Amino acid sequence: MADPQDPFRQGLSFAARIGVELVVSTVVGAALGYLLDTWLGTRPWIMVVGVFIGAAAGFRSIYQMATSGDRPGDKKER
Amino acid sequence: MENPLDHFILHPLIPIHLFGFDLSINQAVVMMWVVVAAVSLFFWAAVSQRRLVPSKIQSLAEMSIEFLRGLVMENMGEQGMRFFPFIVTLFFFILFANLLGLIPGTYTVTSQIMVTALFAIVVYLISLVVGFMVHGLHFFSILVPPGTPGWLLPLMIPIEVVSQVARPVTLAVRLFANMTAGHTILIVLFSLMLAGGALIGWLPFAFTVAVYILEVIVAFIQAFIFTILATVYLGDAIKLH
Repeated sequence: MADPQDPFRQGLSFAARIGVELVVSTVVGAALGYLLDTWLGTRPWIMVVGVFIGAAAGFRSIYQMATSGDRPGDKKER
Repeated sequence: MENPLDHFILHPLIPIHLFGFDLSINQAVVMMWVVVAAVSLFFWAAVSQRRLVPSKIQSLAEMSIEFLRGLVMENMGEQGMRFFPFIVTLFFFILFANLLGLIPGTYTVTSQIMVTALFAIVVYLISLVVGFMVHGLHFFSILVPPGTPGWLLPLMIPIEVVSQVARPVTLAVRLFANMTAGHTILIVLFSLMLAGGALIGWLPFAFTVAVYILEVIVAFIQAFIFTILATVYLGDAIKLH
């Protein structure tokens, strides 16, 4: 099996996670806001807030990812 | 030119309709059987002659099991070893589905969002059940990151709720999008080669080969990422921060 500790591989897997994380978090924030809006009849205001909260959540996930140690180049003892 | 996305359409081979549900056997179902058979065959070949000095296929199986064991121990701890069989099954099913899908003429099961979404939802539901079983209602404190000052709570709790809901969605979308995109690029490049003919067709062909190699790497990486994140999510539920 290919070496999972290979820096190129780790870099690719790190990069592959970032984009999806941002986009999906924003969309999920908007979707939750939309559902709340339909429920409470306040369209479109909670959705607008939801987009920003979703984007914030996405950035937070990436920040956590970048500081949690599973980034490329970090040597962890397994 | 044929639509590059036509390849992903499922055609029922044996139509089955039960109680209003479409349970037809289509290419994806057949391919899943093939994947299950291939994984079983791989491990059967690995353990058929158990030797102290392992054969190539046996050491391959041992290496990957050791790697996954390290992953589970690191992210979930000793308690997490209960989920070790689940994690191994998940990893090998996704890996073989990705790799076998790259053989021309087969179908990539993981390019169906229903398949990846089901995996992601199952992983996430297990993590919720485990979290509430281990920590009871205290599990809700997963929504409050450690060290959050009180005045930030009204902001942090919605953010954490969104990032929790986003977890299964990212898992599903990442695998599905990578597989679908990769195969679409391969189809487009290959059709360009056919369209280009002998004069210019070699250029898209070279790209097809290059992207194909990249896709093999992506198949491994996406299986790794899905498994790693599954262990991280389950580990979060067990350890709670």
